[in-house]
Amino acid sequence: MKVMKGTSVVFLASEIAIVLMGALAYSEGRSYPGNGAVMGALIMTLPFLLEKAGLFRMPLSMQIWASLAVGLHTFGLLVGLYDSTWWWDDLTHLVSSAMVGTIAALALYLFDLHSVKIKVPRWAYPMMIVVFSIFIGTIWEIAEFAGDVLASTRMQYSLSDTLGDCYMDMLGGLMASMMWALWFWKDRDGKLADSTQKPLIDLFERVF
Amino acid sequence: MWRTGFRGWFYLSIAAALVVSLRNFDAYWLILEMGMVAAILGRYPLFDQPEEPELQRPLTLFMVFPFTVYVALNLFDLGEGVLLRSISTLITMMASLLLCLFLILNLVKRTGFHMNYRFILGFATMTSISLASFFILLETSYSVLVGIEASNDELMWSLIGTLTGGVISGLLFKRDMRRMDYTGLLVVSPEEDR
Repeated sequence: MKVMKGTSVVFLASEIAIVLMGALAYSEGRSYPGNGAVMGALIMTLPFLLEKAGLFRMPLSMQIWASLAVGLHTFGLLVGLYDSTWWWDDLTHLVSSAMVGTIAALALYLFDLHSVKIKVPRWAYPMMIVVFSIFIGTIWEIAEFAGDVLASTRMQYSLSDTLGDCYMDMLGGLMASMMWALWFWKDRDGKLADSTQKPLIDLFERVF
Repeated sequence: MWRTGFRGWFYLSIAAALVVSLRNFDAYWLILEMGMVAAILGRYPLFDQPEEPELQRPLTLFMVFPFTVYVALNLFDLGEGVLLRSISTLITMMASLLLCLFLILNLVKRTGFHMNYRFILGFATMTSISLASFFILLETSYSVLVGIEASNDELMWSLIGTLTGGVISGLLFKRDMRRMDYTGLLVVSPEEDR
């Protein structure tokens, strides 16, 4: 399937920036930021591949948001902002959590549109986004802790850092709730409703 | 006899757990208990017919059993040791799941919010984990603020326990949820039909 111009531009721009940062990190012998960049680059190919396969067309605003989240994280690792700037970790958690919350809301919205059994009224979205953000925040922190214990990645600095991250995840969830209720929900240009392509709609109808 | 006995145990376990929570200022368990008391008084889905055969297993396993164990753990001061702490976390998550399930079933019954049983149970499991994690974060933050010793490892092991307990509870409830006519449960029967 033909990929939209906007998707290709955002995909290429984000991939070039992230790959360059990764290459720079590896050239300096720093594998941790380099590996982070590789992971980020792989994540950013997902929307492109899904659109290419004719399954799902991620709205451009969400794709830009995802690129911003991945870009901020990789840049922070490369320049060492996680160590030198106290609010950098909070910022990346806030942006990433809001992004995850918005994508979860989009998934719910698509279930609501294409499933007979699942109906989610507008008022339920903020509640579900916040619940999902706390849940994902918890899983993320557990993953960081597991990385520290098993591979000495040093992702968790202290108790107050972990608590701050979790509260930022909740704040990100609240932000996504507000954005969804005030802006995305209206779907003026129909981008959200059109994001699911026919093969995925058929799958929705078969499974749910 | 069994029905009367079960109902008696059902009410006694909540009453005893309420006394224990009040005595220990256990805010999280108090919320769980108050929620369930409200559900029983309001004759809401799941809690309005505790003696019904299809409800006895889930209500025994997820409410009467956790509340009885909670009372026993506190009564005999058995909070130490990995095994007992794991049991304590598991029963907390089982009771949390039941309360979240009640809230979601209530929303499904009374609003335009509709889901199939897989989604109801999945969302209830996720909500219970999020709720319990939120209270763990609040409790740890309070400890930090008032100068009580707390460590990152302790917080993380509590969160891991909550996640594991939540997932186990969800899996334990899955069989009951599948067998249960939960759409029927969403209609509260009038008193004379009982």
